[in-house]
Amino acid sequence: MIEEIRQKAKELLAASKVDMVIGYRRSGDGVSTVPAFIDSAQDVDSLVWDQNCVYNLANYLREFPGKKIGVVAKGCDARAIVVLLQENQLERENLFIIGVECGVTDISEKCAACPRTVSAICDILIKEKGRKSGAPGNEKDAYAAVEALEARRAEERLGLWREEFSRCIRCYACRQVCPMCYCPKCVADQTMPAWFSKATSLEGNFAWNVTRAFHLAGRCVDCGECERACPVGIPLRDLNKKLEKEAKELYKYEAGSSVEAKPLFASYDKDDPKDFIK
Amino acid sequence: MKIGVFVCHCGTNISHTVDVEEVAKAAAKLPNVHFATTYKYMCSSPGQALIADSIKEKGLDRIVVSACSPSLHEKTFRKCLEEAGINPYLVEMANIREHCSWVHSDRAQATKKAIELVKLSVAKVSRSKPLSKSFIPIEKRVLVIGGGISGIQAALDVSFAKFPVVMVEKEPSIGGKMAKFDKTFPTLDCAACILTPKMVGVAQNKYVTMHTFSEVVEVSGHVGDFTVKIKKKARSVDLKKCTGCGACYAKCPVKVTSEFDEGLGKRKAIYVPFPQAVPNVPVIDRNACLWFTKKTCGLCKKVCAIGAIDYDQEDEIIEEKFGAIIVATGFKQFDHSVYGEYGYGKFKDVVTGMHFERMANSSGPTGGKIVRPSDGKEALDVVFIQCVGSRDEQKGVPYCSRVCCMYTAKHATLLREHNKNAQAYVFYIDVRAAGKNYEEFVKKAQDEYGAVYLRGRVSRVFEKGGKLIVRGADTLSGSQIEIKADLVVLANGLIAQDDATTIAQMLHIQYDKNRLFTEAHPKLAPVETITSGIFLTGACQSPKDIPDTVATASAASVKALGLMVHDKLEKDPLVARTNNDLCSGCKACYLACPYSAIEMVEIEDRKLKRKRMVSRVIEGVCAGCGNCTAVCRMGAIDVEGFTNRQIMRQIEAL
Amino acid sequence: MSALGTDSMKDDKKMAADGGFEPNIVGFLCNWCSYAGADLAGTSRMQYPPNVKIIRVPCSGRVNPLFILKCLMDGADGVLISGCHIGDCHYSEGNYYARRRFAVLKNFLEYIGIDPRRFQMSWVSAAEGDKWAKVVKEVVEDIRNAGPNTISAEKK
Repeated sequence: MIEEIRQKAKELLAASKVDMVIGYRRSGDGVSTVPAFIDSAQDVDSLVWDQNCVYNLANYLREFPGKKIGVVAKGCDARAIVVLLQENQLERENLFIIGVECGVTDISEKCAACPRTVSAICDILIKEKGRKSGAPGNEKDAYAAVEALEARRAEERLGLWREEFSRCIRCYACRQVCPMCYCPKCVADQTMPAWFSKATSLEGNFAWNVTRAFHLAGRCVDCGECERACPVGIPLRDLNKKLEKEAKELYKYEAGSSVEAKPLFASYDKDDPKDFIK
Repeated sequence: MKIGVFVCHCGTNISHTVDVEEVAKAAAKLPNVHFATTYKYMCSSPGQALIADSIKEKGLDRIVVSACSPSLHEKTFRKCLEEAGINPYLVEMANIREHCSWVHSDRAQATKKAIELVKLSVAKVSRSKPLSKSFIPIEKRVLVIGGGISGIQAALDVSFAKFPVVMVEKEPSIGGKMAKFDKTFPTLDCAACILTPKMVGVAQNKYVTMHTFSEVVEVSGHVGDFTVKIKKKARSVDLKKCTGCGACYAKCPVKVTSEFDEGLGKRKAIYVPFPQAVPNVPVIDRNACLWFTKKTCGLCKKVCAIGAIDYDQEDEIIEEKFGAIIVATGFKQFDHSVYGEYGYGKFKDVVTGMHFERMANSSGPTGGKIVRPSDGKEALDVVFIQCVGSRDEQKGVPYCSRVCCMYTAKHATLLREHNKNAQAYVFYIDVRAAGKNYEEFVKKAQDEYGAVYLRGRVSRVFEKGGKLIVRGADTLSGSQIEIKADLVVLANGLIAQDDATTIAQMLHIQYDKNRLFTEAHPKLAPVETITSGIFLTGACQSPKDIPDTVATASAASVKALGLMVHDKLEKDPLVARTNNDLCSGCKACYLACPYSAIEMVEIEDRKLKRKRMVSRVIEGVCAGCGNCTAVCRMGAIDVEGFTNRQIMRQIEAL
Repeated sequence: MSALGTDSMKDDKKMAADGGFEPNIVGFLCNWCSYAGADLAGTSRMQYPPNVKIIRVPCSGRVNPLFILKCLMDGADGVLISGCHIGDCHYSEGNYYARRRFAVLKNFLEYIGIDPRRFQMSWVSAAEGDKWAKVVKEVVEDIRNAGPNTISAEKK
């Protein structure tokens, strides 16, 4: 697979079809990977591809406006690119998307429930050799954790989240790694008005985490980067997955499935659920 | 910042339940409040003078009036501020009457809540900004929807002031329900005699453009600048070529029941609905026409010497701009099929008032004879049943339809005029004859035309020996009575048109639970709607007789003309605005704006030294709903008058 | 001790003179229907509990979800959003957007463990003064039963 990726990257750079290819390279520890920004065909051999390629590379695309970028995109990365295109943040003609099917080995916990299909938006799809179609993936119920939490009593849930949020140190690493957190100035940093407390009080932390999750409703593609980046281990995916589940169940809406779709909250249907209203 | 708080007693309306002195005292202690006082009637001239003087004397720069609902007096106090020399948008009202003193009785609790409400308003006004009004140009054309007597009068009145009017009527001819009437109460003039000249007046008027057999399908924009799409349904006859000679319908072999004659008569597949139709141009009923159903016949086309028949005509959508819209869509007759006891549908000789009108009309299906539809014999004993659908919360509508008592008295009179030997019996609940010469008219029907009025409900109508037996109660004599009748006439009430809700939603106007359009104020703004630039006339707002309909038509015209004489209109500055620094250009607001009032534009970002997209509000189109600000994750778009800062400050104050 | 930042919602203020819990509720009412409906309740002299403090907004679609969060974090015991019935919105569509936005928020808050009674929504038309009075009574009763808001209160 990696040879195919390198080959494609080389081809694109050599033919000046792109100004840069964003992929993965080995980090100093010799095991993990970091994003690679390659602008010369000679450097493509530093590209790697294995189960350590966790970063969502869609997060870097907005930083090169006007440039033509080739990007290595896993299923979740590609979905993120779709959302960014849908939200007018990228220009399709400036992108060459090298879709890659993920390996047998899970990159992280989220992968166990990933559908493993890579969005049709990709310009080329590099498949893993010898992989049986469909498998693996989806062997785990995507919403098992959410449902387990839903089944608990309200007070328990509140207690649990209070506990989790109380650990938040407001480092905003979650925001930093999230491709959807592209606001010029996050509401958390605004002062006029100050939407919620900036202090690491329970109140401020609660508001921050709930706000961030809600602002990702219908947008989060479950790349899981926020949870991986969180230094205090708040199970942020459990928040995002709940909203993903709501969007799917109530409105048949799935983030990152279509560039043309109107965003979840910028659209409505006359027959949307209404029973909760007096 | 120096906020002044003015607490109103409203006579005793507020002070009876709320300790206003206590409210003023508490208000004085709030942050930035420089002065607080009370007065008996804050909206009165001395009340307003008190505010104006305090502004000058104490240098107040923001005002809270703690009184009634802002829907009543927000404008009053804005004006008061303006006259006192400060920006009119620096006032907030605390509604301590409708939302407090009138709904609570415990004085301590009500006073506590009133203080909270004042706190909210002080918080909001402390975050208010001076705003300046903008102006929008006015398209000097008026749209009239509906071509009944109501729309006709409105069009004539507007055109008299020399402003262009476009009239849209869904039927092939204008004239509406009135064209079907024989005579009109209380003077018994012939309806056609007084209506036809007006119809012709519309047709010949150089300021009026008629679109018959057409419907309004889309309305966007706002006062001064409405964009309206009108669907001109395919008439299959060229309006410009046709001379109205009538050769086509004389030859047409297809006969179907006539809608105009309420099913009592027949018409052809190509037809004009009635002899005085305007325009006098036929229309082809494509569901009945042999050409359209079987591709045969084609006679009309053959006989038309000037080639006006056009089978290939298609529906056409035109788009036009208007500064004001007059809604004159009229009413529908109540469907009495819910009253099984009256036997309609079962017995041919049970008819509605509208049937009676057509029978009484000399150009109608019976040539002016009141007959039994079952056998065509003249009807001698006729029973009229009042309040069919009206004043009946179970089966009909709760309201009184206002015209039925009068048209029944008219029918009773006409019956005797058509046949000296005929006898009218009227079952009624109450006779409502409030109107100039109305009571006299009813009395005359009874005294001079011998109509027998029986106070009570009819319990059953059944057939016996070729006659209809009407069984009912005469509550005045306390007895059950049975009348042998040749004909039973139901006085159906007036209800909203089937498509009333669709029209209301298209126009963004409100309607009540009976689907009648809602006026902006039941007393003080009876022909206006809550959407500025859209006015109501006639029975689409509530049942009306002809004089009232004509009066509201003229009233609505004056309101529309009031706009037409201005070149531009002052626009409330309470619209949305984008902060480019915060906007990411994600398009959420652009997609979620109900008015398409947001566009995406490219700006030069000096900090990033490149171009990027942001949203921009088209001020003239923005209605200030604020949906954009709630879908904006970055707080980049905000709506003046209800800004994020104002509302967040209010929440903090609670 | 409460960690609620602002002064007026402290626990001690929630107790009425008789020691019973008096919930503090914020109502966001659209200007055209529900606010007018509440006005009508007033002109009709309908009686209802004084716990709901009304913030007037142009449309239920104006309500930013962060307002709800702010209310609950600042210690309000409940929040009520009320707008025009579907199809009646003065801005024709605002309430449709609100309905979708707040359906998701409501379920999400519940998932976080916030009592669903604390965040409610209603459609009240300008003609429904009686419905407004009824809604207030029900919501106040619901929230009275839910008890004081301790969502973000630090552990005692």
